[in-house]
Amino acid sequence: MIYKKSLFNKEIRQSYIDSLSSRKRLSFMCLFLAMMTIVVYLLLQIMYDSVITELMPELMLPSYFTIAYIYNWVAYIFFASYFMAKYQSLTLSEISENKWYMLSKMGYNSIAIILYKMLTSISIVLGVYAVGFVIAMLVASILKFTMVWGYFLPSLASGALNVLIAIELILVISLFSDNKSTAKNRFIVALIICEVLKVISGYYRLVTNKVLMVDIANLFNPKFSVYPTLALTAAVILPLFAYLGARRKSNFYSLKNEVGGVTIVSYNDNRVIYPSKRGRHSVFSLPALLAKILLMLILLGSIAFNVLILIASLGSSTKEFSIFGYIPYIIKSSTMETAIYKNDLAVFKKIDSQYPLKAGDIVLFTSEKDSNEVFIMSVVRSDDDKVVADYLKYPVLVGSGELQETVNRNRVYGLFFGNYRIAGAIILFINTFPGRVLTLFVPLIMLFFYNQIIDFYKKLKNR
Amino acid sequence: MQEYSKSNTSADFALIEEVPYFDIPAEDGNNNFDKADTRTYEDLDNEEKKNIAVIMAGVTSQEQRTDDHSKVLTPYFSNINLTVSAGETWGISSNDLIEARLLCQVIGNMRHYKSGRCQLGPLGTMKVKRRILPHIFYIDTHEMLYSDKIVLEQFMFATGRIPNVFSDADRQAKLLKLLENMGMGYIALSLISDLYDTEKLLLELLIASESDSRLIVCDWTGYTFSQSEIEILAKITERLRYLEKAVVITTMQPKLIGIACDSTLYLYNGEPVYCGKVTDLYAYADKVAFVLQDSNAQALGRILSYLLPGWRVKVSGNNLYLYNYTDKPLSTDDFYRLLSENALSPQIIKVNKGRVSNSFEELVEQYDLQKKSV
Repeated sequence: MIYKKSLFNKEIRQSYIDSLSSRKRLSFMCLFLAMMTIVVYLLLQIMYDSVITELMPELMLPSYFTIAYIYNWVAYIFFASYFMAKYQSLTLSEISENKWYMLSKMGYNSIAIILYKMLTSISIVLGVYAVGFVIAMLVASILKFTMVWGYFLPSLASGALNVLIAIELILVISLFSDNKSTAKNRFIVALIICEVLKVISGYYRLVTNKVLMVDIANLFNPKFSVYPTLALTAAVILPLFAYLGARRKSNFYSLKNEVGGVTIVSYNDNRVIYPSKRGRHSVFSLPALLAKILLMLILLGSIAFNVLILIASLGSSTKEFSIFGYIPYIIKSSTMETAIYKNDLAVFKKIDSQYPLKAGDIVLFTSEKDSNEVFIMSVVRSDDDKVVADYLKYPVLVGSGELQETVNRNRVYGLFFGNYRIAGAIILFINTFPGRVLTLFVPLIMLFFYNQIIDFYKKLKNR
Repeated sequence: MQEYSKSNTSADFALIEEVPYFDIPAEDGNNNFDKADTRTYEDLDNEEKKNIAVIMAGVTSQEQRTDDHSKVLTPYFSNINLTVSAGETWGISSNDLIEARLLCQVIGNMRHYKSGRCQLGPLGTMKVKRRILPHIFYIDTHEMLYSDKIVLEQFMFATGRIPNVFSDADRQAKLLKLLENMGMGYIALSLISDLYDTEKLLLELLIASESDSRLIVCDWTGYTFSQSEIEILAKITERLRYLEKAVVITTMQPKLIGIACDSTLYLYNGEPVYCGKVTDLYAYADKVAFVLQDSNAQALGRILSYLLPGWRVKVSGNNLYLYNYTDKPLSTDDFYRLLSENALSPQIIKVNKGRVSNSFEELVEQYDLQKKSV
C-alpha cells in the first residue's frame, strides 16, 4: 500500500477501507445490506396479522417485490447515514481542509483529483448497492417466493436513482458548507425535500404498484410520476455542478485562521475588527437541545407504553384493567370483522345494567356458564332482562347462528367505544422479543447510561 | 551521492538527501533594525531580485481596531518594512495575536492591505487573494494530511508525483532516513490521526520542503510547540536554509523564534519594534547578563547594585536579574571573582546567553518609555 500513489487507490482506501485488516469492507457492506433486508422483512412479518398488511402490502406480502422494496429503503437509509458518518473522506470537503492544496502543490493535477474523487464515490456506492441487491434476491430465494423477473430491473433502477441522488447531493453540499455539522443539516433538509417531492409527485404510488413496476418504462413515464424523470435529470446535472464548483474552489486556499473570536464590520472601506463578546462558538445550541428533548420524550414514551402494556397483560377476564372507565382489549380472533379486526386494539366503555342497548351494539359480557369467560359480540335484540348477541363473522365450518349467546342483562358490562388499528399493530410488535428490546431495553440502557454512551461515542469518534 | 541542487526546477528536486546541519550564522553585533531595509523591489539589482522572496515597504493593514476610550480607529499594523531573502527563516511575533496573524496572511497573499507595497518574489502579489500561487506554500492548519495514512505513507504519497530517479523502494528508504534525520523517526510509522496537531504541522512543513515553492509561510499563531518539537523544527528550518527556501513563521512563542529562526520581526501595538537577526536582537535588547537565585535575593541585590555601578538589578521573588547597561561587558570569570572577593555566594548562578522573550520584554519597555517621553 505504501508504494501506491494512484488517486483511485487513495480514494478507495480513504473512504471505504480504513486499515489493511478491513479490505473486505466493501463486500461486507453488500452482504450487510442484503442480510439487513431479510432481517427487516422477517421482523415485519411479526405484524402480518395486523392493519400494517392492509396499509402497506408492499412491505408485508411474501414476494420478491417486497424484498426489493425493503432493500431499497434499507440501502437508502444506510447510505444516507454512511455519507454523513464518512463525510470528510467521501465528499469534496477535502478542498476546504486544504488537503488538495498540499497535493496540488506537490504536483498532483487538481482536475484529476476532482474526477477521481467523484468517480470513485459514485461508482462504489452504485456498485455496492447493485451487488447488495443481487445478494438480497439470492438470499430471498430460500423463502421460496414466486419468481417474477419483471420486478428486478425497475426496483433496481428506482433504488439506484435514490442512492445516486443522495451521493451527488452531499458532494455538492460539501462544496458550500464550512463544516461537517452544517453540511449534515443541509443534507438532511435536501433529503426531506426529495421525500416531499416523491410524495407530491406520486412516486410512492408508482413504486408500490406491482403491476406498473414490471416495466421499467413506467418508472420514467411522467403520467405516473414526474419524480424519476426529475431525479434522472438532476443526476446528470449535479455532477457537472459539483465538478465546476470543485474546479473553482480548488484554485484557492481555504483560510483556516480567519481572525478568531472577533467580529468584522465594514467601515469606510476598511474592515474594523472588534473583539467578539461571546466568541465564535456558542455553548447553547437550540437544535441540539430540541433533539435531546425529543430523544428523551421518545425514550420515556416508549418505556411508559411498555409499562401500560405490562399492566394490561396482568389483568384477566374477571379482573380487567381499565383506565377511567375504559377497558382496552387486543382482539385475537376475526369473529367480529368487519367491525373489529384481528390484532386491533379495541376499547370498551364500562356500562351498568340500566344502560339502554340496541341491536347492532357491540358489547362485552361474561358467559352464563363460566363467569371467567368473556365474549365480544354484536347485540341481535335486547329487552330488560335478556340480551341476545352473536358474532359478525363465523368460521367456515360453523353454521350461522350456532354460536349465538343469550345472557342476562346484568352480565353485559362493556359497550364498544372504538378500535385503534395502528395502536394494535404497535402493541403486537412491542409484545415480541425484538419489540421489547427496541422499546424497553434500549431506552432503559440509554436513560441509565446516557453519559457513558455519549463518552464512548466521542472516544470512538476521536479515535 | 548526488549533490544538492539549489536551482528551483522540480527536476533538480532536493529530495531526501542527507542535509548537513549548520549553526545559526553569527553576524556582527550591529543592530540592523535601526537601518531597516526600506527598499522596494525596483530598487534591487538583478542578482538581489533573484534571491528575494518577500519585500514589503510601508505596508499598512486594511483592518483597523478601535480604542475603547477614544474610539479612534487605528490600523492593526502600519509601516511594515520587511525583506525576506532565499535561505532565511523569519519568525514574526507580536503582543497581539491578530496583528501577527493578519501580517502573516498579507505575506501569504491571503489578505489585502491598505497601503504600501508587498512583493512576493518575482510574481508580486495578486489582486485575487487566496489563489494558489506556484512560489508560495502556505500552512495555517494541521488538517492538510490524511488521517488514515501513516506518516511515511503520507510522505510517500505527497511526494509521489515529484520527478525523481529513485525507485519507490529507494524513495521510501530515503524518506525514512530524512524523517529520522529530522528527529521524526519516532512517528514515521504512526497513524497520522494519532499525532499531536503540532507534529502534523512539522510533517506538513517537511513535505512543503520537498515542493518547488520558494517561500513557505506558516501561520502558527494558534499552536504551541513543545521543546522537542521546536528542536525538530530547528532541524527542518536548517534544511530549508540549505535548500535556499525562504520561511516565514508567525508564532506567539518567543522560544521558537530563538531556536528555529535566524531573523525576527516583532510588532508591538501594530508597530514594528524590532526587525533583524535574532543574534543581533540579544545584543540589542537582551541586557540580562546574569540571573541569580537566592533565598535572600533582596539583600544580595542591594549589595550588587553598589558593586556594579551602571547596572540595573531587578528582584523578582528569589530571582535576581542583572542588566548590563554599561558599554563594558563583564566576563563570567570576572563576575565570579567579584562575588568571591565580596564573600557573596548565591545558591544558583545562571549566565544568560540570550533569550528572545527577555529581548521582547526589553523592547516593549523601551518602546513605552519612548512613547511617554514623546
